[in-house]
Amino acid sequence: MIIRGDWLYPEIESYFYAVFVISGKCFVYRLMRKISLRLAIPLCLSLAVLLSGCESVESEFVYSEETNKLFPEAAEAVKQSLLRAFGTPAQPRIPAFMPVDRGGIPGEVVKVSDDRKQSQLKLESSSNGETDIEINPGQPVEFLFDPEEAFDFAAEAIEQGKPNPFDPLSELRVVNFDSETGLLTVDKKLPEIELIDAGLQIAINPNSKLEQGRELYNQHCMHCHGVSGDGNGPTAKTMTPRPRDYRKGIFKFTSTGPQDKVSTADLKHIIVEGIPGTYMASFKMLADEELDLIVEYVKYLTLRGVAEQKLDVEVGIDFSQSALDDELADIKDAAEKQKVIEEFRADWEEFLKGDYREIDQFGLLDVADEWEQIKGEGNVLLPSVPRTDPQGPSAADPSKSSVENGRLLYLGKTAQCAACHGEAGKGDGFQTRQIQKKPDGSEYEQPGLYDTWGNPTKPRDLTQDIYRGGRRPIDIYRRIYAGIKGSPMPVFGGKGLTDEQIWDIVNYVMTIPYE
Amino acid sequence: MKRLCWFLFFLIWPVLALIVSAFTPRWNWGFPGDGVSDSPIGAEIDHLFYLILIICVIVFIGTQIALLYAIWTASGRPKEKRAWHSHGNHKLELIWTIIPGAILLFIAFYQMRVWAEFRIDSASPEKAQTNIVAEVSARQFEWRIRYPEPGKKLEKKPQPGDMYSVNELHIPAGTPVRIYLRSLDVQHSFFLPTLRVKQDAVPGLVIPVWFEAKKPGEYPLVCAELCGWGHYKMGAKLIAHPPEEYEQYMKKLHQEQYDDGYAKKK
Repeated sequence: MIIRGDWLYPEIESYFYAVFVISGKCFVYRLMRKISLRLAIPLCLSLAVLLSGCESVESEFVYSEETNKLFPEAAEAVKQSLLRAFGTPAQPRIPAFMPVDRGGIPGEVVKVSDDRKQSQLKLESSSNGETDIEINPGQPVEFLFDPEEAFDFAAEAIEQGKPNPFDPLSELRVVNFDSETGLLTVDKKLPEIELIDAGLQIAINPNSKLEQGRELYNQHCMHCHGVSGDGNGPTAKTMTPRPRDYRKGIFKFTSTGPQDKVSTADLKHIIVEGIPGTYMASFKMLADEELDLIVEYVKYLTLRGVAEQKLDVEVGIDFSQSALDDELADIKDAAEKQKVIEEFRADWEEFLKGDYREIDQFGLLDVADEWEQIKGEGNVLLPSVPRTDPQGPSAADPSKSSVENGRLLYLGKTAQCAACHGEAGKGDGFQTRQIQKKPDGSEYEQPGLYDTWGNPTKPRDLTQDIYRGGRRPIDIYRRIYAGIKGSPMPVFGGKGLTDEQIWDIVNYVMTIPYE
Repeated sequence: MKRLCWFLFFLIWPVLALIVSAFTPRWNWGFPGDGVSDSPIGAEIDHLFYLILIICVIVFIGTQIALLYAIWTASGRPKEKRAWHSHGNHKLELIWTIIPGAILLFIAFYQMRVWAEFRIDSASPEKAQTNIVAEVSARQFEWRIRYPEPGKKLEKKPQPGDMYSVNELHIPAGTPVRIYLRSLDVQHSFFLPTLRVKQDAVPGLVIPVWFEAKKPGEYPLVCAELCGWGHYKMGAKLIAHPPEEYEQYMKKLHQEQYDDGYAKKK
């Protein structure tokens, strides 16, 4: 076992190591001579047991509950699809069309060597002035085909009974790149695909940023949010509130509209500012580039989870384990049961060859489409009127002051804030003592409110002056307008309350801590 | 031969200590940065540190020489005369009581002024008593900071108009400032290494701490009390602005804090 670290300077570290080893050897030798073999054997054995814990463990993504509820062979197909599209924690990857900045060195094919056996491409590097890009042997190469064209091409080949023509491309790597001539040599012979031609975009080392992001994520985030972003890391067990499970694609504190996805800017904002009142600390100490890498990795884990959900829904309609169990429920005869299972399996096989391939491919494209707005600032929610002066007349009801009107709205029937947050704003409204219903209609055993993830949650105690999603008026406006996604806090904007009324409530809420 | 071996064995430690000490500046084991404190009182603290270091080195080398002398001469004598009991030797007792006692007294009195200036309210500079810039609350694992509204004084209780930030403490440079230090959960320690300021944050106490950054710039602010698994995450920044820029920054912060988002719409 080598003890290494940055705690000593390399030159002295090696001396220490030498002294360590020599003294260690002398010690063991003398120990062996002194004590009998009878003692030495258990000693060595226990040492071996101790050290066996030092092996490096490869981390794995876990799959969602819904995936595990599928018919086993269907679950396996979903897992394979996810593996193909998103890789493993050791080798993360994501399709190029997903709205994630995954890294990579871009290039464009100018010419393919006539003899494809030479597996050479002439490239034009589209690296806009970046001179230091390094293309090294062993780096993966990815062709950025148009997904739909590639799907049709592969479908045609498979219909004719041929293997998938894109298979040989999955593990393509650089052998050599001559930056003078732009000649790229890859380690495998290029298959006969007419799509590989001049003008095709390629990416070398396509997921480089994900790999860097993973390192940072593992260092700073993983112990709470988990390897898969399921909010179930080793330090998460005792936390209230629980760390966010990204896989549902729901994030609480966003700057976007009620129906909109979280934006990249929102994710970064939370990492930089932290969430007061929870265990999520600020990470201002990290460099800006590091924060961006972490955000992209979080987006990657999110999209992986969302894609898994999508596949589960599509496949789960007909091929969940419970669907099979329902069919088997009334059948007593064992042979009959076996027959039903066989039929079910045959149906699945047919589905796998036919529809599933489309679901697999186009499901991902749908996810990419739906999540397009995650990019950049996203669909930012801004008020249509400026904030009313808290002490001035309310814009919604000029006969009262803004704070007064806010208080009436807070207690009133339209907004019903007090139902959860309590009349004094202490977060103890009567709803916190009622039995609530689960999304599937059944009832929770314990009274109180629950979030989308099934964890008990409390309405904010507004007297405490702690605002998780930020304390600016615009932050509180957004919480009321768009609700808090994934929590029982509903959407008030658009229909329920006018912007003028929301500002009155914001003004009132901001005075509660000082009452 | 055996005599020489033991002699060398005891000789090697003081020599090694001196060699390692001589190399420490090169390995950056000493004070952070260029070794010069970024605060005026820091220079005096460094002076005290070096004074005590020099006293310790002299005592250490002296003790080692005495030890080597004893080993060398005693091992040359016949076995029955190697050692004797000095218990009750009045002269020796006096020497080794008075000399260390005098050194300790000297250190105690010599450092008293700096200690008082740093830790005692009435002895600290007048500006440090009036120029209260922020309340710093340590929590697992970040520093939450509360500033008063520009033009107002910081109150013990949060006020409407207060401004908040996290992991960035902004102060004016070139003047003593005071913060109130609190902890929201466990024990933390407010540590400005380059300013030589360290003060534990204790749950339930509000502790005043003053310091002065000589020049505008960014200085590290870290937690110096192992406070949990995320201890390392409490790496923050102290940002010292030139006075006029500081005023502007505070106004900007106030504007941001009370942003209603409407301006962005237009």
